[in-house]
Amino acid sequence: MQLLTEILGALAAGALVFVVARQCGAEPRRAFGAVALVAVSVAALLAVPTLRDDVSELLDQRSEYAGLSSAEAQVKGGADAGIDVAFLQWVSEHLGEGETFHLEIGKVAGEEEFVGTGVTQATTFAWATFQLGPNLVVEQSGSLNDVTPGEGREADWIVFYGMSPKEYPSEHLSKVITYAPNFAIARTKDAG
Amino acid sequence: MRAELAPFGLDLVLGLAGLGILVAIRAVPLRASSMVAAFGLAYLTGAAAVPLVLTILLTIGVPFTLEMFAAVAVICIGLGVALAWARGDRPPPAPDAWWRRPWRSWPADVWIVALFLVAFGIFAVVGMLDAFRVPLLGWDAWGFWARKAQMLTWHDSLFAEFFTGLNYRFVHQDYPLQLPVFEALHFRAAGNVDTQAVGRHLWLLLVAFVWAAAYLLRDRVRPAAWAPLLLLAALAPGVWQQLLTGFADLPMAIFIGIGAIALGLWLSQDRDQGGGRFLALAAIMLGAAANTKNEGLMVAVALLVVAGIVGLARGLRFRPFLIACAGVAVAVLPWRIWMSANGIKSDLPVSKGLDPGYMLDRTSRIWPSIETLGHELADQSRWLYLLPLAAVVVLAALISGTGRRVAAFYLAAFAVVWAGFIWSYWLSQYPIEWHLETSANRVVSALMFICIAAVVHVSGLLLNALVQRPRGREAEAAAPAAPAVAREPVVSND
Repeated sequence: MQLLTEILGALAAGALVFVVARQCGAEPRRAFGAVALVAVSVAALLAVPTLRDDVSELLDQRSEYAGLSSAEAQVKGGADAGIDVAFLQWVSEHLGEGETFHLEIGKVAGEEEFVGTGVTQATTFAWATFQLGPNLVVEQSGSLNDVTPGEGREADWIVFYGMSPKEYPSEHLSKVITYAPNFAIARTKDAG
Repeated sequence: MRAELAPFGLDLVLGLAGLGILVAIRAVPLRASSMVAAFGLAYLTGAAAVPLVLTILLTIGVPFTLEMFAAVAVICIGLGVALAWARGDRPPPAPDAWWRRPWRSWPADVWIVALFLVAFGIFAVVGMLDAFRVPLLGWDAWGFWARKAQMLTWHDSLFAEFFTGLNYRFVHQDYPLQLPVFEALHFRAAGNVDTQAVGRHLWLLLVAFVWAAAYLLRDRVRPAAWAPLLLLAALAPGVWQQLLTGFADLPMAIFIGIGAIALGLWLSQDRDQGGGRFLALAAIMLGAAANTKNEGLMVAVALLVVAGIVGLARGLRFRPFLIACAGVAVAVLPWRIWMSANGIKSDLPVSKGLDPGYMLDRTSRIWPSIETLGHELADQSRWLYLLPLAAVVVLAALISGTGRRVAAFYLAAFAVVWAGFIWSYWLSQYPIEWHLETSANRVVSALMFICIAAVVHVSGLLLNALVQRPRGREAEAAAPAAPAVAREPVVSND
């Protein structure tokens, strides 16, 4: 409805210009040509103040990120989503070239769900697999949900994010390296 | 230093490759000043064609490396030089040297262009400064596009573990590779993956779009029309804010915008004027749009179908048009065949779109889609009235007959693409509220760029009809825009 009224407004402006052009003696074809003046003049009218606003917004945005180092900028997307990017950085320092990992992500109580997956869990999974690249993730279930106990044992490492390694079947793990409570990595038995 | 400068060096090579293509298709004459004037269009052409070719090569197993990029670029440049030499192309007559005259007698258009350059230049520079600082924050930007670019930087092939493996189904393996290849080229040139650098090269696409549209329309649309309208289009927050998110919708819309203008220019040719260069350009741009997002394929098909119908109705030569359609198909098919061969399925069940039972069960999705798209298009804080302005000039052109077939093309293209989007929401398997909430504000970009093409092109044609002295209808229709600066051969207004 709003779009319709906006279009009607523009058509009304065009009609007025056409009528005035006709009253000035312009033949119909030229009077219709005058309708373009609506577009051109409105564009000029809007462009100048918008240029000022846009430039101001762009400069503000630039100032907002001025203090951000290049390294911080690389992980800002995850940090803004509330993900512990420092832990993931620590994880990436432990992963060897070409080694794979599996993510075990704890579910936050009361977490919003979308299509059967916790939104925070899914975001953490997506971001972690991005930040930990080029190392590749191993998820047998092929979805963001962990559906199989002991899943990921074919990976070289299990990454525990917000979840204790004790909740994972211990027979598949060798050494566990702890970053903080519920944040750890564990070497799988198969990887040695 | 390499990380900062080398990616811009790569942009320069993309521009030179695009210039080679433009010379090859006779879209730019062999004259230094014309090549400089066309460099925005050249950059966009290179950014469209080179990643497209590299994607096709990837699908047949050719390694993705900087050396391969250089080879493709050299072939594009060599093609232009070789064809120009073989055809015996000669530079056209020198343009009117208005700058040699006293400044008081310079044409008004010169001053309009100068004012535009100052205003747009300020915006372009400040935007670039901002793009140097903005990190990549949006989910789709890092989750899909930059992630694939990362992988194409670290690996030189569509390796199975990531591009076809079950573990990475969540990255939408069906999404085409135009943007990831474009980003990966810059990462490779820089020597590292710097996601913060993505925005500055996407920003160049916007600058190139404005430059390219002005160049393409220079013979039909006087600066008094294109300068304020293209400035308004670039300044629209819906355009530049979205571009800096690193999503693929805006790059796709940019290719669609130039593709639409090229088709509009083909339709404004007479039967014996050819217009093959416009069709070739449209094929490159629409092929790139289809290789940027899945929606781009739908839009490309819609634009070609509408242009074909209008062209057929006007009795234009159809063989070049069919060749252009075949070109788009050649650009699109390798990726689709590769997807099919590797069992990658699109998340949009297109085949069900022709199943009446399936569609009838989902009719409750139609109205929310219409309502939400309408709401997004009506958000003038983002789009600065570009759609209502396009509506008024298109209607005036349809009634008056000035630029009627061009106006009819843009109107029908908008309607068909809009209907296509409604159809895709109707068909989609995602919950409709979530799907609309997360995509409608981006999806409308393609529609807005058709509006931008329409308002600039059609306003120019109407303005020409206004300023021409009455000489009878036939003479009017054939009269060009008043020459201001260097111009190429001029053809009719409609």
